[in-house]
Amino acid sequence: MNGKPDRPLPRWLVRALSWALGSDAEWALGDLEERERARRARGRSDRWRLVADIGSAVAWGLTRQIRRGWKMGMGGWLDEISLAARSLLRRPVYAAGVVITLGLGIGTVAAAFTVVDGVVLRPLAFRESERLVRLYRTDDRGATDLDLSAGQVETLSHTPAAGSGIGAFSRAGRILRPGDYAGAQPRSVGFARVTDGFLETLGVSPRLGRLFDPEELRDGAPVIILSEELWRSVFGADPSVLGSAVYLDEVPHTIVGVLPAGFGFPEDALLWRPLTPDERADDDPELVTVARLPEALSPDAFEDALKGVADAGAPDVWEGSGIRALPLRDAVLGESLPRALAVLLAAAALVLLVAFTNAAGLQLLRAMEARGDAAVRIALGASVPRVVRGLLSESLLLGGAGLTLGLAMAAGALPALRALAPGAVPRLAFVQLDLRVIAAVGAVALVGAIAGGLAPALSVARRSVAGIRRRGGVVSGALRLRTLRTLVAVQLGLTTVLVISAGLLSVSLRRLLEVPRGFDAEQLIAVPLAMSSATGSLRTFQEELLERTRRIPGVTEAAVSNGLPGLGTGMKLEMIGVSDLPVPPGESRPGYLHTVSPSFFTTVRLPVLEGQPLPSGRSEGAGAAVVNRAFARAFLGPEPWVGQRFTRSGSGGEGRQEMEVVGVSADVVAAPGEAPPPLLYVSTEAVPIYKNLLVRVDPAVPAELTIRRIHEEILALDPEQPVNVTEWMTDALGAYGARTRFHARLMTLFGALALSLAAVGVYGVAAYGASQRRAELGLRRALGARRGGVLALVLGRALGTSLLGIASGAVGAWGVSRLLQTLLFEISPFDPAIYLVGAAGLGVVALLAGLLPAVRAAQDEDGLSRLLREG
Amino acid sequence: MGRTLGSFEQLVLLAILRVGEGGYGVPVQEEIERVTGRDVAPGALYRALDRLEERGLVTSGTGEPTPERGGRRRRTLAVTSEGARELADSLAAVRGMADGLDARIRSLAEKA
Repeated sequence: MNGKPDRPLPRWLVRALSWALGSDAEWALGDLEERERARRARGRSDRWRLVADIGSAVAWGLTRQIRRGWKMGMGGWLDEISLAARSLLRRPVYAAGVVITLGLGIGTVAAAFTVVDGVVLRPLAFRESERLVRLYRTDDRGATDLDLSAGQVETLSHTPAAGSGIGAFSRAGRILRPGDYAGAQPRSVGFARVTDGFLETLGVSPRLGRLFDPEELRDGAPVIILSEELWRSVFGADPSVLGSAVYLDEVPHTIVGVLPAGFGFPEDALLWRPLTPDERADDDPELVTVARLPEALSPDAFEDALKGVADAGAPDVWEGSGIRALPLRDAVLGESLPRALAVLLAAAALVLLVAFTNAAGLQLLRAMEARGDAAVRIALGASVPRVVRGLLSESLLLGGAGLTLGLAMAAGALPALRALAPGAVPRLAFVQLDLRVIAAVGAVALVGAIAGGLAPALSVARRSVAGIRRRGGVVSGALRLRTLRTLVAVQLGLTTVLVISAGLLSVSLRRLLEVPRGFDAEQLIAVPLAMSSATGSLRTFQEELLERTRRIPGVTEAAVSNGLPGLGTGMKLEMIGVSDLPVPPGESRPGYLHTVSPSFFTTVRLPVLEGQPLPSGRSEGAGAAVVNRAFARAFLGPEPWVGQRFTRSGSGGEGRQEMEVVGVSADVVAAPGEAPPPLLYVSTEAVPIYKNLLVRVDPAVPAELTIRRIHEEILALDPEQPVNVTEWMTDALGAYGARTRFHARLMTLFGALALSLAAVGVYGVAAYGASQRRAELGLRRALGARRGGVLALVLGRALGTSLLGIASGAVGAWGVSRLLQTLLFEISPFDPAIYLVGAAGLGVVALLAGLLPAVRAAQDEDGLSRLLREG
Repeated sequence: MGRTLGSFEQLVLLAILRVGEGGYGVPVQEEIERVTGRDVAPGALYRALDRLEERGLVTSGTGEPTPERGGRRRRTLAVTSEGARELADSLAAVRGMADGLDARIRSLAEKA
């Protein structure tokens, strides 16, 4: 052994041991050394014995220190916290006020952050989703977001350049009749028709069953994969659903799989089926195409590689077209949404700041009250840090309770939030409160709670000794009143920013909703029809159906149509030539073909502005076209439009056809603020393709009765029709301007929350100010001041503070409102009327909040004498 | 007292008494080892001492640094009167229970 005889242990070991045993256990180290020395003296030194001794002593030393540390540290805190809890329970109004204030702020931020996290931050739910891109076709007229045709997808997917997979889908809608599932009602479903490789490219695996096999995809076999949502809602999550037959527009399909929840691509698809050879042959450029980037290739490089393939391999298919690759996440979210949500999150953060400021104000008032307590505790020998610790414990407790309440509120609000903008905000339906959000918000809440409690606690510490002598002294009271006023001014300033932002968005929303749809959706019902060859002659059916329907009392007019107005579900068509001038191939722009019965225009009240509606009769209807203004502007020659001729081809199944414009209708607006799509209306009497019965009902007759009679007539004609799917047109159209509504509603909610918090703040400062000046006010009253004078005095102070806050808030709003620019519709972010109304509204709220304490102070008849009695 | 003395605690108290005035960790430990013939881990001894001290059965002090210990202090140990009472009680209980059984215990043990 090394070491001198009197120091049997090496120096490093001694140092380590004195740390492990604790500074006050030097004797234990001495014992170890003495034992070792004695053993050596006896010549019986035993290394293992020494190690065992040291180990046992170290174990003892460490546990002793930890236990002691716990007792002094945490144990002390636990005592403080239970003390703080008891003290808070004695002030339930104060405690509830702070907890609710914090809860509102934290809940707002938690909900907003959940939405931002779930919609924007979280990667898409696909394997290595960052390598997925969406492919667009570009044309030489500057369009960059066109979809691809089946032929184009085909040329790309069989090249080595697309090594990691390319697939596409197009949307469709049918009536689903769930076959043998008793009690399951037919419903209309939106679904995706997918090409070979689409689901594989996304890297999704089925929750149940399997994906489509190559033969099924090649032949367009009648097989479907369900979404989890549909599987649950229609099939009761039955695991034995695989192999069952269901009917899509009465065509039997077999279920082969179920995709996991949250797969959601396309988000509105309830099921998937292979694209059939016929649908591929249509070659409509309407395939939404995704690709997986080969390893270590940027979207740009990938784009170039694919361009090379297109040019070299299939120049005819790609003539006049280019390719653009955009990361799928960007394609799903779009450009404006992440920014809009960031603005909303910032607004939520402002609400939280208002809440923190409010809570800090309340805690300041509490600290004033606690000062007496603290002074006594300090006088009795409690150390200042200990007293501060007590006050901080209260803050932590309040913060913790506020956090719990806030998270509970956020969790409770999420279903409403998900339902606020169905379909308008991608991925919103899948957002949920998770640990990430809880951790982030919890950290913010903790910091806020400590910060809110720290200032009052420190001010107590600084002044508590002086406070023994001058309890409730005027000087320190005035100082705190100033702090309190500052806090209230800050609250009102932040609130002003929110209220003005909410005002701008709400006015935007109203202006957006004022944009006419182009037709009258009220009192209009849509009954989807499941038309298949089994239905018999489609021409006869429509004639009989319309005739019977019109005879029903309560029916004003009826029509059949392929698509529903305003839903853009018509067929895409290709223009071949206009007025004998051929449109160069590849220059076609999307227009939509709507097949409608001639009564359509009167039924949906879509005005025909020039010329005539579609003529009745098969031969009269053939070749007659009503176009909307957007179509006329996009494709026709100069006015007059009526009488112009053009050639079309495309999805009508009729091939190339000469058409003559007989009428020009108003535009139908699919979404407010968006350009109306070019539409071409062709008579169903000439082209018998229709999927809906549209009925305008008389509001004087009970709608249920009318609808029941319509159902009876339909079933009399064809008992197989799934009539339960009848919808009001206004419901089918869904929320008009849903995304703007989402933004405006949330901002208004935030503004309202901030406003109510700020009102509490103003009330608090006015009440406290009045109580501080009780002596002065009492003296004034005693000297003959009128009530009105006292009222004005108290109110004046509170209002002065408020106006300062509101004015600075308006300036702040001016500064930040440019961030709102992209969310606004036909209103300037600096619209003076909104600023004035917002500021005035806040002023009124501040006035009302300050009024009650002021009235109380004015009515305090014997304030002075009571004060004198109290000394 | 709520708790009775454990057997190791009894041994510790007895050892402190046997070592006498100025007793500290090392002699107490050695005394137990010598009499019982079993090794005593220092950690176990210290833990027992902490426990006994907490219960007021033992007091300890800090001795002066001595040269033979390389300048390190000792934790000097003494049994309090309360400790002595506890010890007496528990020894009496053991003696009472063992009374008249010596021969029988010995014969049983030898049989095994």
